[in-house]
Amino acid sequence: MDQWVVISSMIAAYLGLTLWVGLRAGRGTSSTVDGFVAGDRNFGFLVMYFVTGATVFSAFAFLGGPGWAYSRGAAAFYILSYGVLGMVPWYVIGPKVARIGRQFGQVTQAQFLTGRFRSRGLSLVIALISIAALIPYITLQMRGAGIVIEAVTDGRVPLWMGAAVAYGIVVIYVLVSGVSAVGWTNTLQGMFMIVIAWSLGLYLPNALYGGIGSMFDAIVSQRPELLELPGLTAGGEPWSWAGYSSAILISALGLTMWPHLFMKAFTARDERIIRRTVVWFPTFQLFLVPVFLIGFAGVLFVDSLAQPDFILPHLILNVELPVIVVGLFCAGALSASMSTGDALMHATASVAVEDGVRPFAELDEARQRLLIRILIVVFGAAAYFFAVSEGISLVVLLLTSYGIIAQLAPPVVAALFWRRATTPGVIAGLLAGGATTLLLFFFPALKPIALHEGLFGLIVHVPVLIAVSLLTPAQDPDRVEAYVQPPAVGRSASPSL
Amino acid sequence: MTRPLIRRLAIGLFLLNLLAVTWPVATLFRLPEPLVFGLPLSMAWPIAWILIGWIMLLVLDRFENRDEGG
Repeated sequence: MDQWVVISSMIAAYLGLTLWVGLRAGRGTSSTVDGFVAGDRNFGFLVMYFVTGATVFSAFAFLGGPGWAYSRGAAAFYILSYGVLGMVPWYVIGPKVARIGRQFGQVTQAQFLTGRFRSRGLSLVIALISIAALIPYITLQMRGAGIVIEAVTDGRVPLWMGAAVAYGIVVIYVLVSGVSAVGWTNTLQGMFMIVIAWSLGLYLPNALYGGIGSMFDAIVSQRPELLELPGLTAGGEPWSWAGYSSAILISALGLTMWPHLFMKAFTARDERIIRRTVVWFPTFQLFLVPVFLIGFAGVLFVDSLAQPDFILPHLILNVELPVIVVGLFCAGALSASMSTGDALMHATASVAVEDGVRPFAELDEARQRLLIRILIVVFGAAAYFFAVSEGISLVVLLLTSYGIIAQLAPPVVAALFWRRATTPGVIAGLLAGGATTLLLFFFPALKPIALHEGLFGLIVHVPVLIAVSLLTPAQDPDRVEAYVQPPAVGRSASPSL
Repeated sequence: MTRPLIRRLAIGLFLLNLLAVTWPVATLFRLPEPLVFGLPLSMAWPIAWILIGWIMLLVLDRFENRDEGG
């Protein structure tokens, strides 16, 4: 039997298993919006751990991670550095956000913010920011899935078809089971990703160099500059410390604030589960270690690849691996792509309806759920269109969207910790910070130093938020206290609607 | 030790973490050599901070839960 037939069969079996898990997941969840978007606030520790880990680490990590290590060397270590820093704030704010969400029946980030800073305009702005940031992210996941399938089938299954099949399955299980499907499929996919990344990360250096130590010895003697911080730029020049350090800072803030992760605080059964998820997240973060080892394994074996993101499929196909390893790699990469893509699609549609439509139009529960389902298909189709179109630089878009998403940090912190913050202050800060970020993205020559544009956005954002808040009348103390000092609830508190 | 003390310790440690992996402290650990457990120093340094952060979170969580009586 041809190799590609075996691999395709393994992919098909894996996709079938995912679909089965996804469809079964919805049983027992109520057919309410709370059930579809927040899983009836009933996710346990195991599911939360894998949802968080598998959602954070996407196709970008599985394919882009080795690509960065291969082409930019130590620059990739910034990804190692920000994950824990970005997740730790959740230990403090996660339980508070969950408690407030339970009290006021919130299921999205904008609902959380507008619960304190009442403004339909603010809700709409957050919805638009979220959708604009999430769609390129979904597109990247789809391309990732398509690239992997195309590569390992020698082009017999082209990118458009691979992406369509993988994401057709995602759409089906998300439509049927909502966030519960995201939870249970991510548990399966998260386990796959970890096992496969570690197996390949230990296997490849051994097979090619005789061990990890000897691999790095060889790289140090031939290309020492590659392993010296802060690494190289995409063009092969040394990266600046300002760029490296601000990438860590802005990515940590962005990670804390991504809408699809923020929303998962509303799915946890109780506060201890959120805290435990944060406590164990570093173990998932270590998944990047084998991912980078795979990339470094390619350094002395593959001469400058035109598209570094293909290093992993390239290595897999060119070092005579057993066919079963290739099939498993595929399943791992698809896991990484689909486990992020499903959470993103679900979050984008939920945010669009809950924050973009509902503040302006009365919708009953059934209509809301219907509209969310329709929009999952619409946004999925839009992302698919971009995924199969050539020539759109999505990675650049995604990295910039981190700068915009990081602008949600000051409002969230203000909502939870600063009594004197006001609605006009938050809106003015968000607009000023967002505008600064976009301005410096389009005109990088205006930057005084080479920091990430999102950081300049925050430097403008925070003083504006403080100044405008102090110049406008203070808020109603009852509402403020509900956020700054939310009443403690017991572990068995029932979800409020 | 008491809970407020542990909390302050945790905040301090994660601020230290941020300083350690960015400029200027990270420049002290920028070189690939010596290899640490087979990994270049520049890679082992952020990995060490992941492990330190994990241990800190485990300690913090133990204290938070003990005081809740759970």
